[in-house]
Amino acid sequence: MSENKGKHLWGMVIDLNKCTGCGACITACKSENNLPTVSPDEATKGRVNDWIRVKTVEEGEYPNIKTRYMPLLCNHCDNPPCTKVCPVRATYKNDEGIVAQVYPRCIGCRYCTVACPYSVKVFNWYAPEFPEEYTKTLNPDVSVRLKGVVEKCTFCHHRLQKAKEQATLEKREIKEEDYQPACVQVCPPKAMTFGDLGNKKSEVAKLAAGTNTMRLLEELGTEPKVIYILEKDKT
Amino acid sequence: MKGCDSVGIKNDKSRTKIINRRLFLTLMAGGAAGVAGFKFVNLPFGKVLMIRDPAPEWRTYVEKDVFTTCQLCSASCGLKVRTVDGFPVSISGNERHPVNHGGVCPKGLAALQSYYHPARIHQPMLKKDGKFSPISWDEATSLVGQRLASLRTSTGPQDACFIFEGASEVTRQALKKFTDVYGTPNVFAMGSPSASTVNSFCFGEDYYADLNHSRLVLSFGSPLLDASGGAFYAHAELLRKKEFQFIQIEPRRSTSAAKADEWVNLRPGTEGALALGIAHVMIQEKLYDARFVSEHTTGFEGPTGFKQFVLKNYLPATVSTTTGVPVEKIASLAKLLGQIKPSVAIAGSLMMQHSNGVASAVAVNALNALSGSIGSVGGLLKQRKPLVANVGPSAMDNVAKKGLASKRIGLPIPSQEAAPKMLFVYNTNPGYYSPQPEAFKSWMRKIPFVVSFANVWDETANEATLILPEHHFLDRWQDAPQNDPYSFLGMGISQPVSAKPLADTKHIIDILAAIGSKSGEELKGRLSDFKSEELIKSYFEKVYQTQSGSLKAASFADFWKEVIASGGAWSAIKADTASLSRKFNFLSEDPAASVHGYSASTFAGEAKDYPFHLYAYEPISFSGGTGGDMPWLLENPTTFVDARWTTWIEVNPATAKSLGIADGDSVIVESTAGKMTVVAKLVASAQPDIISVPLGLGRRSFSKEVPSAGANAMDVLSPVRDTISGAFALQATRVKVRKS
Repeated sequence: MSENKGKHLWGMVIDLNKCTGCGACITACKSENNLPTVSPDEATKGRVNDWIRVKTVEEGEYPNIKTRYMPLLCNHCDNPPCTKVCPVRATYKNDEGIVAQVYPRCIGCRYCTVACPYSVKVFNWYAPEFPEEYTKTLNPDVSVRLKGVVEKCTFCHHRLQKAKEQATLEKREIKEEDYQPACVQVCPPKAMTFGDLGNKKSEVAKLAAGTNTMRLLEELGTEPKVIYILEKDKT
Repeated sequence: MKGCDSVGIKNDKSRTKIINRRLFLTLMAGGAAGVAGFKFVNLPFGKVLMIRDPAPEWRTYVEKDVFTTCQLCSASCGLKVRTVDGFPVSISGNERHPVNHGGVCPKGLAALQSYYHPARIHQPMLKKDGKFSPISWDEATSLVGQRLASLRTSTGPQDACFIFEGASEVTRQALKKFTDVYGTPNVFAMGSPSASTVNSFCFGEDYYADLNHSRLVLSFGSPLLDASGGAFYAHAELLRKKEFQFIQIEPRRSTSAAKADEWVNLRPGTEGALALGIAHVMIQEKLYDARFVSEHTTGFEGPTGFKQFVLKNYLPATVSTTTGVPVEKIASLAKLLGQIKPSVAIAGSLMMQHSNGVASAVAVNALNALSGSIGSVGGLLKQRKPLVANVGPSAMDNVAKKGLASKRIGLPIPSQEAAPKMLFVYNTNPGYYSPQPEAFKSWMRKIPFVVSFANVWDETANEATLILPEHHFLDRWQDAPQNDPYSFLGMGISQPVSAKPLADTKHIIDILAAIGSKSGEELKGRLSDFKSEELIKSYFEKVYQTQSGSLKAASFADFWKEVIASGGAWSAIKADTASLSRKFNFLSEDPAASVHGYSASTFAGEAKDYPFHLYAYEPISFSGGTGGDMPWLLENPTTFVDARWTTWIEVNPATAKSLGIADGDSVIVESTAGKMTVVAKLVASAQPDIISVPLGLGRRSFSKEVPSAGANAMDVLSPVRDTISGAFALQATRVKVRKS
């Protein structure tokens, strides 16, 4: 991990022992980030606009099966491959470790989408459409993206922004617990923990430092800030 | 919002500073590090930035959080609804709520999509010549009132039939008063009998499994992690406790099975036989609690007793052949039950959806008797009932008494001959989610006057004569009692979250009162003397008075404030062990409560023509048959297989190969009752001769924005019933599958 220089280094730990694959994170994300629902035809082809998905894998052959549920989202790499290929600096890593996306700047070249080894970037092939009635559920804190723009999980950074504002109003520093993404907030079995990886005393840093943890495709040197706690049998 | 302006609102921040377009553009030009938010530290964030064409201006908004209780399934999770300018924009969980601790299932989060559904019913609608047109509340309630009054004096009040589901205590009592005073015995809930109903059969009281204090749980098809919405938080937490062992006995590798310490796979409908096989080993090896059995049970010893019955008929080898569970596994389960205390065996809802469902549940309870788990902490404990709501006296006249004494009609599978003259359907959609929905709809068409209280168009409302739309749960007051399984005593509340109701809808209690006031002089006073808000508040007052010791509020006013502000009031309680009867009769006079009543389950369709067993289950997003009209859930109906906007079946890969079916193929599933076209998904854990199908999809579309998706699995389920309870056996259908 990079030096955090007194700033926060936001990251997430997902405990696969706890995840039940219910999909609440997916719906929470759709609701929070104004993700459009694509047409059934497009969805069937896999062209859904989801920033987080849950991959369920059954390993082994009948009847000896092991089931694994795995939420997949942007890893907010500390050494992100996607930002390096962006010709217009529309995607960049900010100084709190969040890999962000500036939608108005994106020219839709999709280099980043290809460069991402985790396939978590989504391209807007169409202008987003919402049934008139459902525009009332749009979150006023999050912009609706244009056609031709790449988007992905932002760790709900608009929430960080609001938390900072609130802290400024109350004339204090932002606290770790002031900010958590929508998926973490609603996770029914509390499989996700979010916080400051740079603060060794934080819950998330303690979990990340534990044994039996894993980061996806670590060998690529991307240094993901989404850390998984692997499943372990009870002893 | 009434009652909530002064309390219950957090984060009430008026954001007043206007950022105009010019300022925004200046900022964009200057913010080299990005405009997506990171350099906006000193700006009043929270403005609307809709980058759409043409770009609208920024606007300010007022934000409030309102705490309410989800009414989309029976778990009653606490919700925190974020409202912007008086209307809900998103939902998260109420962290203080004892059921869900801040977690919410996908359906709870998608509740907004039913609130703002394009097919919402905005005012009362009357069908004339096959077409619905708006009608005023006054006219509509008069129409129903007059009809009820004339029906009462002509053929009698028993010809009005009510079907309702999942109502709150206050609503239930108000509805009971209405039907009692009117005089009809034909009041039905469409649900199948739950384990607690069977516990009432067995023990004469309602018991629940005290999972929190148990060390071993044998779940016979209980969907602990597959249903009950956010409530599975508690179950998931339990499952990881080191000293807690959880064994899921189920023919499908559900989430509960996948996350269990052990999954015992068996043939469908043989759970009762397995329980009796385990009982055999426990008795044979003297692993049972002899003291409990001799002190608290009857019918164990003797030539016709349980002991002889099981030792003679349920040899492990025989049971192994029936169930497909190896003899060694049966022995090891018996050993576990004999060794680990406290333990509990749960008769789950999936097991009970067979023709021998109730009998199987009784067999499972016999295991609880053998292990001495009845009435002990960590075993089965007495369920405290919610306080009865006081809705005023039910003054019944002679017409009502005569009506109430008449024979009930046979729901949930209605006889086509016996149709009532009036039907009222509340909070349920049997025209879609019931055995044989087509048969139900054709039965409905025989009824001259059908009233629906739906607030979103559905299959049943579409068959109605008159629709009196009830408030959406985000617009209404409602009590939500919570108690024992969560070790909390108290009461959640549903309260209106919007500044005003989204549509011209009314509370069900007020609709009933309005109808009552127009049912003629004879009934007027007795059927209309209630108001929803008063009844609910007085119910909370009763709760406060009875439980004031534990609920820690100085006065009712404080208590009410607390309820409004946090979505309810709860206090931790200890299990009620003082009032336990602990009695169990292995040889009950009542066939429903006797183990001897157990027989093999029956299936519709011959094995040679219909080689596969159809295992119909409810995915978490569509529990109880709701949620199938919400786009978020239709796009992501499951994370188990890759399927969207469709109904799928889960097929074993080897079986699929033999049928020439590949993953993603469109296939036809056919039973004796009907057929449906679905998508095949290869699932490694599927039993070779079982086809699993999710329920809750295949809803009819009532708006172009939300198209229909998939097939309704209810259409192919044969109308087999439980031989004891008469409940519909969802798992009793055999099918054949071919590529379409």
